[in-house]
Amino acid sequence: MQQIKRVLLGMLALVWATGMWAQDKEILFEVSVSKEKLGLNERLRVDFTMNRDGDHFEAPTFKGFKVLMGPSQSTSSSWINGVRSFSRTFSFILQPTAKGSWTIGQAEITIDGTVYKTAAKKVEVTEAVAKPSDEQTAQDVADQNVRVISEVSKTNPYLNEGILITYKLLVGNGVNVTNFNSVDAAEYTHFWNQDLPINAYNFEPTTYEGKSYQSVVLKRVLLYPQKTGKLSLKPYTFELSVDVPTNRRDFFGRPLYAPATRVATTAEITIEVKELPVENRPASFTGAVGSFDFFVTPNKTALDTGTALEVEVRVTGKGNLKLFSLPELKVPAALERYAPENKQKINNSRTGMEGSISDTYTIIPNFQGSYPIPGLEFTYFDPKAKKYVTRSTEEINIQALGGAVSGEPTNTPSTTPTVRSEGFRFIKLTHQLAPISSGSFIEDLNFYLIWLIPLLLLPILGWWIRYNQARGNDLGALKRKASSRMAKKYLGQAQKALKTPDNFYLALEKSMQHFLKARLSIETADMTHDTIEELLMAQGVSKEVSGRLIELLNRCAMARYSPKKISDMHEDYTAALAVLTDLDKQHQS
Amino acid sequence: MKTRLLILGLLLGNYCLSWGQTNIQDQADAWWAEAQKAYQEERYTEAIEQYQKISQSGLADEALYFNLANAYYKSNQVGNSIYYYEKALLLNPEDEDVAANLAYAQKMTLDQAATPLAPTLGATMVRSIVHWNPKYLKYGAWLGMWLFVAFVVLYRLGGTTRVKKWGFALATLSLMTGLMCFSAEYLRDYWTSKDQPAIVFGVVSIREAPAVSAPELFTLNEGTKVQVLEELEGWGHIALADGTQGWMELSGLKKLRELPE
Repeated sequence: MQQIKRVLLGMLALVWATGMWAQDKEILFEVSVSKEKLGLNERLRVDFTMNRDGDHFEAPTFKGFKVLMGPSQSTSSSWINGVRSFSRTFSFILQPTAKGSWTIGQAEITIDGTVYKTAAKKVEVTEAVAKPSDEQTAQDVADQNVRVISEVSKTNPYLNEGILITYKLLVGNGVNVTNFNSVDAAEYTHFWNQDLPINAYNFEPTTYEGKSYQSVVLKRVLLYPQKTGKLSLKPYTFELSVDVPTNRRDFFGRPLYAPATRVATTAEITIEVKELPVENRPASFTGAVGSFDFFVTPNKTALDTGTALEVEVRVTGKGNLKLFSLPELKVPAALERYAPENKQKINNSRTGMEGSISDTYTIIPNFQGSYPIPGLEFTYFDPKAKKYVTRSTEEINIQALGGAVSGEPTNTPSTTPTVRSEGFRFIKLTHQLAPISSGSFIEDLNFYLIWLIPLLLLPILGWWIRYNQARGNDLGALKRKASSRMAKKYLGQAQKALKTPDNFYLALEKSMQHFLKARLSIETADMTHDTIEELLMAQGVSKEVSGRLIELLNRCAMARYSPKKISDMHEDYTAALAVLTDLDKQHQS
Repeated sequence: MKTRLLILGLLLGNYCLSWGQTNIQDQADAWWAEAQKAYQEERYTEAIEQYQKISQSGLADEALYFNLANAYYKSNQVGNSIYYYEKALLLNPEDEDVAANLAYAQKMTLDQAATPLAPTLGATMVRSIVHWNPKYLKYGAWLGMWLFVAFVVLYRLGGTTRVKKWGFALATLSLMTGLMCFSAEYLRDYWTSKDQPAIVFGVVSIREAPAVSAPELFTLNEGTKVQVLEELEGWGHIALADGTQGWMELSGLKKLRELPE
């Protein structure tokens, strides 16, 4: 009795000690098989269990077996009395392919940098048994027949190209899934994601890994990668409430169901996101990927000043509609432009986002005029054609007509020139076209010629003036010479005109006047008889001679009014000759 | 005698030149009439074509540039429109029609007009110097010189001291006028060569340095008026009205003082 007690105590101590040890996180990595002896037509379940989370699980090659399912993971962690217990199991369902004694090889896992291995396990496969094992528990059945898988529409999309991830529940024969909820929702780091709601859960038969299932889509998520390179989609874990049929029947002969809970995790998916091509990337590319149409539409193009106009910039199509910005509308600075109103009409479907986004600008012209709004360019990348497509719009011309401006626009930018009530001026009707002068006249030789000629003229003019002044001293003599020449000329004329008394006396008088002009340096206007006498006296002419001259002048004057005989004319001519000769003589003396 | 021959030759040369010009003038008149008609019938592209023919023949005046600019405005070519309005203003800064329509054209530009700096005294002076009309300066210089000679002769021949005094005073005044007009033109030419306004065509990037790799400071849209300060291998150092400066490629602008090819 005492001995037994001692042994029990020892065992308790041992258990306690190992418990303590476990609490100190002794790492365990073990293999367990559902049976060590089985028939050829039976299945074997192999679990690799660890009590600490590890990486790089490597299953052994199951020689002699075919993997029906697996690896499927299940994880449980719990806190009991402040002690955390954790366990992760990788399970395989195996089908023997041949009779004999087979060895389940070593599985490997790396935990905290150390590689742990399980022990090899021997399994004996015998002849097929009449009735496959029924000793599976409800949990086993649930584990075998309920699976969750994830499918992606594309594993190598371009950046910003939409992909769809679908989570499917596969339910095997006879098992009912009564409820599910997501335990560990996947996080889509580096993806823009949009949950697509599932309206109805429809089962449809599928085959997966050689086994037929009823499949239902649990969840669909649209993903737009926002980063290039290898991105991993974390596994999604669902907790499923399962009813497993048992072999027992109820009173009415219907099979009885045993409830079970299955925690199912999808596999991790790696997606390789391709960078958009860099070459030939237009400057107007802002990240749109898909296939789009682009419009810029004004609601009117002619309007009164002070009234509003709306211009809509719209992109319609399929692609990452929410994930790029629309090109900004540029308008002449003189137009008032308000911040655009953004509208989105997007349907999310399995093929991606589809619909339109638009920016509506309100524009008010405050002054009349014509305002061109330049066309816009919108570029997107077409992942199907693998090239960039640019859509551009035409320039829009807005005509602001002079019109009812009820009040002064209050928020006119002060810098714009204010031209109000003044219309656009018409072209000029007349011109004064002239050759365009290239540059300045200071490089023009003609200018200098005309400019400097007067300076050259100056010495010439100076010389000319001096010359004339020198001759100017002699001017009296010159005049006298000319006058006596004239006197002789008229005397000659008088001689010729002896037959006609009128002409004779006129010529005689002129001759005498010119003689006196030359002698006395006086002008015809000054010639009165008194002055002539005086001047002649001053020149030392005798009274007798001057008397004869005066008499002769008188006779000439008289002859104009009373006709004379020809004999008188001869007398007068000789008298004139005598007087003039005497005057010359006396003057010279 | 030699001078007389020279003058004769010059006159003859001028005559031949003016004969050639009358031919061009007649042709220009025809183009002008066609352009005016096209404009009135709103065929603006044709009007532009005809006006450009006149411009390329080497003839121009403010009316031509104004009409050309109007035609460009009507066909929504902002840059060209502003370019020719500004050209018309260079010929006659006081023209109200040009100023009014230029305001219209400037409203078509995408850039908000830069607030000009308050002009300094020097800048105002330079601007007024640049606007002096070389034609008047030329005639002023000539008239001054010829009057100078006339008054010198009057001074020499003047009979009374009063006439002589007046002759001397007026001769001095005329000589000064002649010389001043000439030096004024010299100044005008100098400052005009420094004044290089230009109009931006297309959308251009203004950079920190004359290189494509230099960081971009801002962009300018078509129709902006800039002042070219310096040039370096296809790049221009430009300044905006508000004093902002930068470098841009010269292919993106058209200088206002440039003659048609």
